[in-house]
Amino acid sequence: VVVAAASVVAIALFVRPPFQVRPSVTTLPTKQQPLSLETTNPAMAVGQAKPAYRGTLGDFFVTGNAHEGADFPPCPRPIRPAQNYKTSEVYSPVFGELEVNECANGLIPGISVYGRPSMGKRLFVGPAKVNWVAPLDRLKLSTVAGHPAIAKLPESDEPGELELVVIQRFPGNNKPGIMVWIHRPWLSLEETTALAAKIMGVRP
Amino acid sequence: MRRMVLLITVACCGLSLVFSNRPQMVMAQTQRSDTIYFLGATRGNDYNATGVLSWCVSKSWHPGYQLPDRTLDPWLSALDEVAQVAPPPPGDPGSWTGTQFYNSCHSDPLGPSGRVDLTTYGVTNQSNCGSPCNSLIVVGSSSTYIDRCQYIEADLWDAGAWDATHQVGHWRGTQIMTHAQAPNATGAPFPLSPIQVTTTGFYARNEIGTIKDDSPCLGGTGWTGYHVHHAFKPPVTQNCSWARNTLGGFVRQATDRKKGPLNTAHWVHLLNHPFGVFCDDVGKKAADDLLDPGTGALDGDGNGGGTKGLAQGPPGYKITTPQTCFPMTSWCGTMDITQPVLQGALCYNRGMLPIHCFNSWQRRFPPPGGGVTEWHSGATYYYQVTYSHAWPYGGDNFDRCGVPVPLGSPIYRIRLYSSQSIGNTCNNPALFLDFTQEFANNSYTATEVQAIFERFRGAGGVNPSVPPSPQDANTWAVTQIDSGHWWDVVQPALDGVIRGARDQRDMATLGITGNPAFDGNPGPTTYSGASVFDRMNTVASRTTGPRLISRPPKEINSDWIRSTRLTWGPARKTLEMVPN
Repeated sequence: VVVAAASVVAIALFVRPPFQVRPSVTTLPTKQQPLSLETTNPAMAVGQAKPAYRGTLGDFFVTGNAHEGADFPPCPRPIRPAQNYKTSEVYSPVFGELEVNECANGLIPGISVYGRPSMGKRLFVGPAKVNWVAPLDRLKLSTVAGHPAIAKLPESDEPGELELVVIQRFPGNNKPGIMVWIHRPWLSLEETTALAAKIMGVRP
Repeated sequence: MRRMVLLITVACCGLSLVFSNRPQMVMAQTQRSDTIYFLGATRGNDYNATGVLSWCVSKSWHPGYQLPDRTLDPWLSALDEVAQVAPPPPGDPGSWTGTQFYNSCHSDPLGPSGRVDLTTYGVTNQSNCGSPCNSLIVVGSSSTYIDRCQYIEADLWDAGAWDATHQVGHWRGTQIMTHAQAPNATGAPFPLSPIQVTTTGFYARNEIGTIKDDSPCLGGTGWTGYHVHHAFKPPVTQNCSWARNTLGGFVRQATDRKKGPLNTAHWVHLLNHPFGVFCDDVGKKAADDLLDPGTGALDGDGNGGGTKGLAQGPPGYKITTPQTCFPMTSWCGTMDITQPVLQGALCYNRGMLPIHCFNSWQRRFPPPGGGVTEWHSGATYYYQVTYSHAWPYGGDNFDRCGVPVPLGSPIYRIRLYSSQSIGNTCNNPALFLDFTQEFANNSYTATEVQAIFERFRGAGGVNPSVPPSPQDANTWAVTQIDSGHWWDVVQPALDGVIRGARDQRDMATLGITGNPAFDGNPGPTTYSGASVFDRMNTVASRTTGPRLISRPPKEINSDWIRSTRLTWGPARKTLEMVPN
């Protein structure tokens, strides 16, 4: 036993592994670096090392830029509180009671609710731009009740990062398109898809 | 029978405490209670050179978000805030034109008044917090919704239960600041400074972002000028409570709202929380509901019919309860119950304390700053984990299992007494441990702590690192119920383990999830569909690198099958499990 223990000690002393056992109080570096994202959550760092995808994907255009999303139709001023927002084509009973504004011509460009989950329905013109910042391998095309959909899948198995966008109607015939979106629902993709169908008022 | 089990348990625990020479966790006499006041999110402006930041209300209390039942924020938790740049015009707030108000109150997106802060004033009843103590861990995120509205969110987590390795704990609410952006606006979570408290009150202002031109928000209908829309999503209430400031000082166009160490009366939201304790007694409430002899979903017909159905159901089978409300709490919803609750019951039936079933299966780590987490504790054999420090080195570090160790990773110490020699963990002689290990100065990464635990064995060679197999648990439940032992065997085991659940994470380990989540907010430990073991490894691999142990489930389960009866431990101090 003594020989074995001595061997172990000898190996531990002479074969220095990359990560050594160190006393907890005597190894502070002389220059303490601030914590960064990469150091506090390795998974985030790994995910962000992949380049964000920018380009066409199915019926969508993924911009890879959080500030570059689909355009809204023009909204004449002044803005005013909407009285009959429940008759708007961007309203869904899933949204419940809301405070909604409308443009001077009565147009309601979009209705959003924030919380559990954040979601909404909005008009768009031009390409169906999606402002996600994610690598291509986290983007998944599908359909929801026959409508084109795109999901941003969570990293690893983290459900909180799931997002889904469905094109309920393409722009055309002087009508803007309609997009349904769900943001970080903490639901599975199947459950999120079912919720999107419910917002559109159709069966999944 | 239940009384007898209780008596034996009490006697054993008492004896164990008397004879054990190991350090025991001693509960404080008074539960630490922290109160955090959240002040204005807009930076404000020292317009009158008094040294105090002033701000104004551009829109009084209004809905901030939607509730799970699709009703709009019934507490009207949102306030629109701007900086004050000049004395108020003559007259009363609410009577001024938009231009008059703007001349006194507006935020400059390019100047200091356009900054967005997480400003807090924290007080605790803990007398040893003369110097600031961490109360809440804050995780931020910022991006733009598909409706093109920009936001910053700050998730608040109890610092007393924060598992830094798994990045999970007790959710305490979310501060929402829309029409603003943080420097990191990709939507990915990022750490912010913890919120601290002192006995006499601690004021802190942390800049987290800036206001933005949010004119694209909802096609122009969601934004009417530079401001911060400041809302609060609260946690479930019972042990926690929260409030918005209703003193009447936040009417539309209110001016001279103050922010400063001596000007804390103008707080916007308030949160009171018990340090380290979940916001409601979820285990007790769920046990009372699920095992009610008349209506409980796990009882069903007074003889365990619900439980038997769960045990005999196909893979993925779940029971969904009717809508219910936990008494004395704000939680109302439905619960999904899945098979792992039977694995938990069998663990309890085998003599384990629920806390050890939970801690070991979750690989729960203590929070930074202190505390001991026991993953196993018998009369003789034990495995304890304490937090040591944050890894202070940058560069390419790898631990002795070959897993990267980035700067800031939590480092732990372990104290153990195993019935079998641990040997070379990860096949690395530098990670050799024999039967015992004192805390000493040796430190380990989270991956190493978990890998060593896989090799730890309790009395009789039992491996506490894996749950009983689903098959064993199902067979046990059905056999016991069919032989007339619902009331004296299965029901007490279910009651014991569910009642022993401390928080949402424990409930998720039992395969019981709430809809909405038990903490009031959907979180990473609440989703259904993942088994206890899958979930554990998923989380571990996400935060500490690739899975180290990839043993097939059959082999893992076999470690548990052999230990099914109770006997007196070697030191005759408590019950222990031995192989048949």
